[in-house]
Amino acid sequence: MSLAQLLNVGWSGIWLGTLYGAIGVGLVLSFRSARLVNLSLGPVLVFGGMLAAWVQTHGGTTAGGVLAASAAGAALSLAQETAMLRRLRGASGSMLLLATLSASIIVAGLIVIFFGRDPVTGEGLVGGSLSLGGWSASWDSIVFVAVVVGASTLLWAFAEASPYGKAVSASGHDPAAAAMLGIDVRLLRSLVMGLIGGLVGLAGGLFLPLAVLDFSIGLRLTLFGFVAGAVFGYESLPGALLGGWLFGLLDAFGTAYVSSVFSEAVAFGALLVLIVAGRRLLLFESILRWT
Amino acid sequence: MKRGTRLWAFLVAIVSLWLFVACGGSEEATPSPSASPTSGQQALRPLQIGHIVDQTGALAPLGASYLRGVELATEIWNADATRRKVTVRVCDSQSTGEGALACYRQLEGWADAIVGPNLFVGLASVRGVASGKPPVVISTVPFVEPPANSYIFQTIPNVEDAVAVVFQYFQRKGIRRVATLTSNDQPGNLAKDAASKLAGNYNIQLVRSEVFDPQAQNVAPQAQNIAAAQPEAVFVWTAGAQLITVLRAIHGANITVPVMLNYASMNLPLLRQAGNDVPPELLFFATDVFDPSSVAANRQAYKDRIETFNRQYQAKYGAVPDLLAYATADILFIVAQAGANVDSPAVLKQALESGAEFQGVLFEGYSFSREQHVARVKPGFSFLRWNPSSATWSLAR
Repeated sequence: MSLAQLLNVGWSGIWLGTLYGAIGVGLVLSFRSARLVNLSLGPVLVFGGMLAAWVQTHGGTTAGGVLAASAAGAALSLAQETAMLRRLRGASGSMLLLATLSASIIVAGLIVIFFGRDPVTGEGLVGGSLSLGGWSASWDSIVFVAVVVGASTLLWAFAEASPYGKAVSASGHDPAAAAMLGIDVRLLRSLVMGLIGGLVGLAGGLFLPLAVLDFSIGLRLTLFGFVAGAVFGYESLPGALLGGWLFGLLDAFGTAYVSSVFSEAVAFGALLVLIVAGRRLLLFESILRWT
Repeated sequence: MKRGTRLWAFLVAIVSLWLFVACGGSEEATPSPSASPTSGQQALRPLQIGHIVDQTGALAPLGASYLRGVELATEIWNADATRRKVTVRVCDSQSTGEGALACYRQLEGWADAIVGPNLFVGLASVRGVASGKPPVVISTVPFVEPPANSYIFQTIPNVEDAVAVVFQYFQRKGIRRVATLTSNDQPGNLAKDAASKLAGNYNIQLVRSEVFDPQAQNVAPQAQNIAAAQPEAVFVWTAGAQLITVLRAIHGANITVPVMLNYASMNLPLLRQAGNDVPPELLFFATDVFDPSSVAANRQAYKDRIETFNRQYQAKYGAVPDLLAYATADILFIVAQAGANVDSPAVLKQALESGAEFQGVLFEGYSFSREQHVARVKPGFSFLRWNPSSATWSLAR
């Protein structure tokens, strides 16, 4: 095993983990604002990617496609909040879960209606690749990771440092009390849902040159996004990104050095071992506190 | 009838019509013949052929080629007024086994023969119900090895035969160190097993055998492992859109040795989508059909068939045919030839098993017997090289 190989396998885990992390960040933020596990984020990401591909094939620019993907993600999430979640205020967790599952199926259906069932891929914003020593990475993967990390950092700053962010957490814990304090819970949740949708839509648009997207993979991406969000307690936005990277790296190194036949089983097995061992060593709690 | 009742009846009729159109997923193509049939064929109605094809879903890029092949073959066949006409009804299997089975159920009562499903996932779902009763199902899938005397026929040689010709090519080129990268599904696993079994026979050392999940978004770890093993060639077996992810991973790992792909990957839309993210030497195993000039003068009839098909394909679709189009055109031609003078699906099976040679385009000739439902083809495979800049392929000598 050479250092170059290690770096290249690791980088593939990082960019894939960033995809899971973007969904994880969205899941964590929606949980903080509304105590909601939003299963529709994976399909919203795919919708964004498919829209970006559609824009490219219909004469639009790559950047235009990415912006459209982000806008569409925000619009879909806002529509979900307005048409469904707002009317379910006070409903049980299982009912909300069922509602977002239904939304995810509906979004997948919308993908089929608007873009068809065929898998798509597309051009990246920059193209080409960067080689440093033995490490080699496409510029599109670097841009993808950098933009998602940047956008997640802005969301983190919004959630942790701004009064709005604190209000988001307050309205998530006790919406009635937050409303009595003068917080417009409805407006705040709409804003947060729009931001979350914008982030995952953006991730979908930027991920297009790295893989192949089709309407059926959304829920699978949500599952891995949930893993990313849950590893560090489902509370921390940087923790969700770190969780995505951890899972992406376990998947990549498990595939490369243990078994490509059982790559996901290896990744989940290693994650389980880490969780059990990490709890004993208070490893995850320490990272959670840090993040 | 009251006005309200009429309105309801009208709405129900409209909704039913819409549901029929939306859910039926089938269409009938009856190309207009250029002349009336001769007296010999007048007693026979047109031969009814069902076509199960993945028009939508992950395998749709392959299905589009399959569909074109059958469409054009139908036109070519029906254009000859002396022949019994064929009528084709198409059903979209949506790239799923359940879809293929639903199509089979929809077509079995109507069709004299069914062409397709032509991808493993579809045929694997259909073969259980189709094996023991008419109509005949004839497919290009090279993995099923239909049992003797069943109603399933296979036109493409078995995967072991295909892997054997690849290894012969490597041996001829002096390549000894080979890595494999195969999809972690039944076709990919069969190809991987065949490679392990046959490598020794051709003095080939398998330096790395990697597999990938057909739904994986990241095949880079496997490609990195292959690059580290320093093979002299890579043999890839995949189908559908995953080809793009695989080619990108190989390109990203800076693998510059020849990469040999299976014939299901020989698909223009997918290769175009991969763009320049392809290894410098991308090879496919195919047949003489891709280079008619190489067909010997004593096989002029075959050469003419190829040139006619290529010319009409280019005129109809504005592109050169790919292997998948040739392969399905041939199954249509085979069924049409076998069914030229038969009046029942059971007799059609006997005609196929008669040992007669059926003319094709991908291969010059096909024949079956009662015991052997995998076609004996003539001649064998040749090899092609992909040229990304011109998006064409040329014969690799």
